[in-house]
Amino acid sequence: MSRRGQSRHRTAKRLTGAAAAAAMALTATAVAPRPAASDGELSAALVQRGKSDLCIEPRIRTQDVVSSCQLLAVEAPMSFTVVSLFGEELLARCPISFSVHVGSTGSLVVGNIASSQISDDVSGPCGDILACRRVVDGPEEDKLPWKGRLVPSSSKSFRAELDPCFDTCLGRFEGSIDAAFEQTAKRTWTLRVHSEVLGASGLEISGSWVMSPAFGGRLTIDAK
Amino acid sequence: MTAASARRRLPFVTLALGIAAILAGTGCGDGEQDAVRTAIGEIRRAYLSEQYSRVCSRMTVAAQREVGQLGHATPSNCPADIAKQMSAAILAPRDRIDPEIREIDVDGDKATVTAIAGGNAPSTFYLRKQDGAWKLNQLWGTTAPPPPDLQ
Repeated sequence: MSRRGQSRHRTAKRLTGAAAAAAMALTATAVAPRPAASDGELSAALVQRGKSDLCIEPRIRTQDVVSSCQLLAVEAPMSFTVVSLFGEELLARCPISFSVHVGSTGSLVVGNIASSQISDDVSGPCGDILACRRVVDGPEEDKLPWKGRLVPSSSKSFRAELDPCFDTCLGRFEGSIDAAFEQTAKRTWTLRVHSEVLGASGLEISGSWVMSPAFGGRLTIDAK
Repeated sequence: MTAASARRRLPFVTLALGIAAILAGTGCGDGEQDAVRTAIGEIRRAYLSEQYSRVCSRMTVAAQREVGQLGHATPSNCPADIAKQMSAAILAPRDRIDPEIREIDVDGDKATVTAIAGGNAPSTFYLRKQDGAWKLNQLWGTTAPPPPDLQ
């Protein structure tokens, strides 16, 4: 289970007159003060028009995940391979898109997992693989978000610990994986999964996704 | 050993023999683990030599169904499904190496096996004892059956 950090908010100071004007001129270029983080924690903020705001911890409702720092992953192929006593078999290779919600201290929630080829009415290999759903008293179904956290790896890269879950025609595969989470350009990040097996389930996944903030700006993440 | 010390040890010897008898009777000893290990070896050998009917005879109906579902279709005939979905004839060289068995946990007529196959991360599969023989019951470490619309 991922460790969820506490939500921290910047305290705004009320200023008046010339002092306020001077302060506004300064904050236009200055980076917002960061709270002290405890061991192994990160500080994540969204920078827009030179102004930096700490990310708010993701809130999970039934289907939706809400947070101030949301990255959208461009749809890219994910390969699903099953490993058994009889060797490796490719189950499917399907385009997958999702959103990544980053919290102020590096907590992660992956939501809105979708595919242009994965839906209930699509036949074929990709129609047999769905993000896990919670069945509530019959037909109502919710896609379950995946939780996780970021761990520093190097100056501009992090390790994302995630707990993906897939319902497939073979059953439910779930378990923890490690993914590379790297800043590849000023405004883009990349999430890369290389032959990671979900726990001891036997399902191996691979893929690479380019992500950028949903509402513009750029996401900065600093290790403390 | 004097007669007195032998008398003192007698209750402990009796207790140890009793525990050993209970463990042997419930199948908790190494005997069942060895039987599971042997079954895995036999299934693997039959598979690698493409004797799929023999492989299927060492699989429960549930495991046979899993092989058929691997092809995203309704399972038909077990040997034909294996030949079609996971033929040993086109197996990668690393998958020809016997899996490294890390752990065998026997609980009555069920066995949970953790093994490393093909140099991958450890994965779990399950066997079940039917008619006195250990059979492959679940090929993967899935935690729930497929939802109704994916079956």
